[in-house]
Amino acid sequence: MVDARALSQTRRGASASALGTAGRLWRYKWIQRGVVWGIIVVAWQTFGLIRGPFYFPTFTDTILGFVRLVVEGDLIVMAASLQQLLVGFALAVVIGIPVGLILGGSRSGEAVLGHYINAWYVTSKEALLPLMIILLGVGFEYRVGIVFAFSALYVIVNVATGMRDVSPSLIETARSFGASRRQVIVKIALPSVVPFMFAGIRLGYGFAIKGMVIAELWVLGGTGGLLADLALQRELDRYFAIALIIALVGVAGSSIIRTLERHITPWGAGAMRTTERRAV
Amino acid sequence: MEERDARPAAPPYIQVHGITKRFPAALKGQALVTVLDQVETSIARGEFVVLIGPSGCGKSTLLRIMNGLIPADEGRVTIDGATVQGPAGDRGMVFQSFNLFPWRTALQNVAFGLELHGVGSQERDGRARRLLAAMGLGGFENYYPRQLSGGMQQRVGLARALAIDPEILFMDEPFGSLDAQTKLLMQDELETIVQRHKRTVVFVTHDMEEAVFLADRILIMSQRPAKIIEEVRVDLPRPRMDHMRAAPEFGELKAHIWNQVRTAQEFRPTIGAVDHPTAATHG
Ligand SMILES: Nc1ncnc2c1ncn2[C@@H]1O[C@H](COP(=O)(O)OP(=O)(O)OP(=O)(O)O)[C@@H](O)[C@H]1O
Ligand SMILES: [Mg+2]
Repeated sequence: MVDARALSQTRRGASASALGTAGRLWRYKWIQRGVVWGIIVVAWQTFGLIRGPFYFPTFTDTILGFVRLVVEGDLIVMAASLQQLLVGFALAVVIGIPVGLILGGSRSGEAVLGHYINAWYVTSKEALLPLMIILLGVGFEYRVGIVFAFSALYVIVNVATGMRDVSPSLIETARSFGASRRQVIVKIALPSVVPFMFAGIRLGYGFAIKGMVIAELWVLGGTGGLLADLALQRELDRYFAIALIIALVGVAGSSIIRTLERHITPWGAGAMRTTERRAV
Repeated sequence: MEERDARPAAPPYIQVHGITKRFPAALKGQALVTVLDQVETSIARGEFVVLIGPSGCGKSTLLRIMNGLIPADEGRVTIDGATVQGPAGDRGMVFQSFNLFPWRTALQNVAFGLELHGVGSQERDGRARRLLAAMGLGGFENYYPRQLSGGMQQRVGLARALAIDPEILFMDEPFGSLDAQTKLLMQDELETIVQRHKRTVVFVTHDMEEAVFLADRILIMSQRPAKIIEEVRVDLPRPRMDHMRAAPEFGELKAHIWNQVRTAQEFRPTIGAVDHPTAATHG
C-alpha cells in the first residue's frame, strides 16, 4: 500500500514527493516521538551549555552521570529502593482491593471504615512520616509503610467507588435470570469493578513512587538520601541521571499496568481503541 | 378454530389481582405518583398477550411486577396458583434498554442464564451459538456489546432470554430498535419459536401491526394512573404467516386497535397523574 502510493508520488516531481514522504512518515507514532525527543535533547543540551554544570547538567553530562552510577555501584542502592517500592505497592493492591470492596459493597463496611478512610484521604500523608519513624524505625519496614500509606488509599477509594457504581439495571437483569445474591456479586459486581480497580492501581502506583522518594528524603537514606547528597555536592549529572531513572520506573510500571488492564478487560475503552487501531 | 374456541375455558395461568404501584415523585415533598391503578387481568397458558399503551403509562413497570423484580404496593400476581415473590429462573425477560453485560461477549451474554443454572460450557456455547445464528448474528459471537449496533444488541438480549427456554417470556419492546425489515424477520422467528414450544408471552410494543401479527389478545392501557381499558382478541389462525398481513381482517383489526389506542391516549381518569396528596407526608 505505502509503496504503491510512494511510487505514484515520485512521478509528481521531487519537492512534492519529499513533502509527501515526510507527511507520511509523520503518521508513525515512533517517528513523532523521536522528533519530539530530538528537539528536547537539543534544547536540553543547549540550555545546559549556557547555564553551566553548576546549575544544569547537559544531556551528555547526564549520560556520563548514568555511567558513573553504574560503575560506582549506586544502582544497588536504587535497586533496594525499588524493592521497597514494589513490596509497599503490592501490599497496597492486595490489601486495598478487599478493603475497597467491603467499603463500597456493604453498608456496615462503610459505617465502620468510612470515617478512617475519609480521614486518611483528607490528611496529608506526609504528616504520617514522623509517626511512622517512631513506629517502624528508618529501615525497610518504615519505607514500605510509607509507600503503602501513599498508594493504598487510591486503590481503596477507586474500588469502593466502582462497587457503589454497579449498574442497578444490570443487577436487575441478573436477578431476572434467577441469580442468587452470591451470583450477583461474583458475576455482576466484581466484573464491573475491574476497570475502577485498574484506575486505582494506576493512580496508586504514581503515589507509591512519590511515597518512596519522600520516605527516603526524610531519613536521608537510599535513593532519596543519594539525591540529597548529590544535590548538596552539586553533582548534578548523577542527580539528573537518578531523576531520569525514577521517571523511567514510573513510566515503565504504568505501561505494564496498562497492558495488563487491556488484557484483563478486553471490553474496556482502552482495549477497544487498540483493536480499532490494529484493524485500520 | 377449535383451538381458539377452547381457549377461554383454560384455567388462568398468570393472574394479576388489583395491582397498584406508586412511585415517589422526582422532588422530595411532592405527592406520590400512581402509575398502575388496580390492574386486573389473567393470562392462559400458552397465550401470547400484547400490552399497548401510551408512553410512560406503566407497561414496563407492570412487566417488572409480574416477573417479581419489584413489589407492588397493592394486589398480587400469581403464576400457576403461586404468588410471585421474586424473580425465578424459568421466566425470561427481554429488557427495553437491552441491559447487556458489557464485559461479556455476545456469546457469553446469551449463555448467562444457562451458566447460572450450571449447564456445562459445551452445551451452553452450542445453544448460544445456534440462537445467535437464528437472530442473524452468526459471526458476531465474540463481539462485545460496545462493538455492536443498537439493533444487534437488542437481538442479543432476545437470544439471552430465549436461551433458558423459559416457560414465560416477558418482552419489553424487544424489536423497538430494529429496522423495518429485520423487525419482520424477527417477528416471524419469534412466532416460530413460541408456537413450537407453546410458551406464554407477555409482550409490550407500540407497533400496532406487530401487536396484531403476534397476539392472541391485546390489552390496551390508559394514561397514568393506568388501567387496562380495553381488551381485543385477535382471532387470526396460527401459525401466523407473513401473507396474513395483507388480509382484510388484519387491516381492520389494526384500524380498530389504533382507534382504541387513540382513545386511551386521551383517556385520563384524573387530570395530571398526581393523586394521594397526603401520602407523601406519611412516606
Ligand atoms: N424507579 C422509578 N422511580 C420513580 N418513577 C418511576 C420508576 N420507574 C418508573 N417510574 C415512572 O413510572 C411511569 C411508568 O414507567 P414505565 O417505564 O413503566 O412506562 P412505560 O409504559 O414502559 O413507558 P414506555 O412506553 O415509554 O417504555 C413513568 O412515569 C415513570 O416516570
Ligand atoms: Mg417501557
